[in-house]
Amino acid sequence: MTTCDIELQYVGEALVVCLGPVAPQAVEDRLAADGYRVTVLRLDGGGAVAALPEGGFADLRPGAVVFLAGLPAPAGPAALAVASLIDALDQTLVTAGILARDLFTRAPPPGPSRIVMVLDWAVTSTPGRTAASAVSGGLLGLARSWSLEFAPLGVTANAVVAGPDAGADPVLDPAEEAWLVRRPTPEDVAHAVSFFADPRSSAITGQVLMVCGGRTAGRLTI
Amino acid sequence: MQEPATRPVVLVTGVAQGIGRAVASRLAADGYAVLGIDIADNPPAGLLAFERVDVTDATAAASALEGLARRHRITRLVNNVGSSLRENVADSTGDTQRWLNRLNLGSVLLCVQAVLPAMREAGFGRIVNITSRAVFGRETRSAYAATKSALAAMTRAWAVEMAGCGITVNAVGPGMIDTELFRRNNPHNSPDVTRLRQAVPMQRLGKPEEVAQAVSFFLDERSSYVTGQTLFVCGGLSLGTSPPRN
Repeated sequence: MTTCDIELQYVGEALVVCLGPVAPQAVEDRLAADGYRVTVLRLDGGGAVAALPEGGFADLRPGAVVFLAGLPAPAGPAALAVASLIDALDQTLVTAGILARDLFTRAPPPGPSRIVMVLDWAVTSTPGRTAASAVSGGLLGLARSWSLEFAPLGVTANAVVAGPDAGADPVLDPAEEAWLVRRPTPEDVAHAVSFFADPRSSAITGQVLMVCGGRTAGRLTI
Repeated sequence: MQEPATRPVVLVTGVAQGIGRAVASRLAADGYAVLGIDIADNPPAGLLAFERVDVTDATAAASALEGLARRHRITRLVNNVGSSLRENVADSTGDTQRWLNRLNLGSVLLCVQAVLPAMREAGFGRIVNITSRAVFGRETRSAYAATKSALAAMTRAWAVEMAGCGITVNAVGPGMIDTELFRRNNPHNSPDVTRLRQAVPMQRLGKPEEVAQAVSFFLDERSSYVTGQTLFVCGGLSLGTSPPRN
């Protein structure tokens, strides 16, 4: 029998940041079940940056911060207004960047610190949703860059990609289910978040985990 | 200058310096009729037309691009324009991200919207987006890496979306290329730059002309079965292997 030499600590606070009108319930429930005190920050409705509290989040010291990518309205490149794309990018990437700055660079993190990005399937190769592709792709770039920049601080940054069937409104055609190992659920996505958030996952950073039932098996990764 | 009716027309953004300048010169040498735009009034020789425009001014840029698309049948596009700023997360205010969202991404959508009707009408098109090795992450450059990773995602999505119209959408991801922008953003003795320099298996910086070679491949009519791909021109840096021990 082997023992893990990393002592499981009190996991403390978790902050779930909804970068748009997304449903955080499964992630919130799972982190609460894991022992976190969970705060959900909703940034939908009228400008994410303006919605940040005065003075930022300098006093909040969560051990885990989960960003849930927003879902801009579907539109391909011909129909998407440039202003809409820019708004979606500003709301998502600027907000995430300012939160990361305030939460992780103002003072040494209090203990195990985890950043988990939950990305939309549009980050893979989904037509007709240009803004969603850009937003989730941008968050992936932030997570990978933060994994490098925050490594000396002991902060990990990873990403979970939710399969297109893992939402409340699955797109899976039942006929396609035969070639998936199983249709993923929101709880499956939350399980991956929990794994990256775990204090024992301290040596894992800059990674992407697809929770898609096998849709990405045998194809180009991101 | 020969009329574009007899030569395929390509629009290249950001042609005044660095990679864009080398791309424009290479494509002119390849025989394309090259249209260029830039904020600086310093295009390379050999262009069919040049417009000076700030692509972060969406209204002005849309107007300039519409004019170019009206006058020329543009069936090839190189989304090269972009910039970067060395900035730690601790020092960020969001302004760099806002600027790069407009310059590195808004410009791309503007250009695609300008040329897509002609490409669809022709049943043919080539779009090449200049991303970066930084799509895999880059400390001190998170805002830039985010925009390039977003562009990589847009490349994949558009490749699928436009595949049925004969339009290919690919990306070229430069590594450490010897340009003015690179020299400005990468102080020679900073630890992150030293680490990256040592991690390039070829042990040298790349040349803008080497990036142009990859762009030229994707634009070729014969590259018709290649879409949604990224070709990293990085001397092997994207392999992420440890530097050789001497």
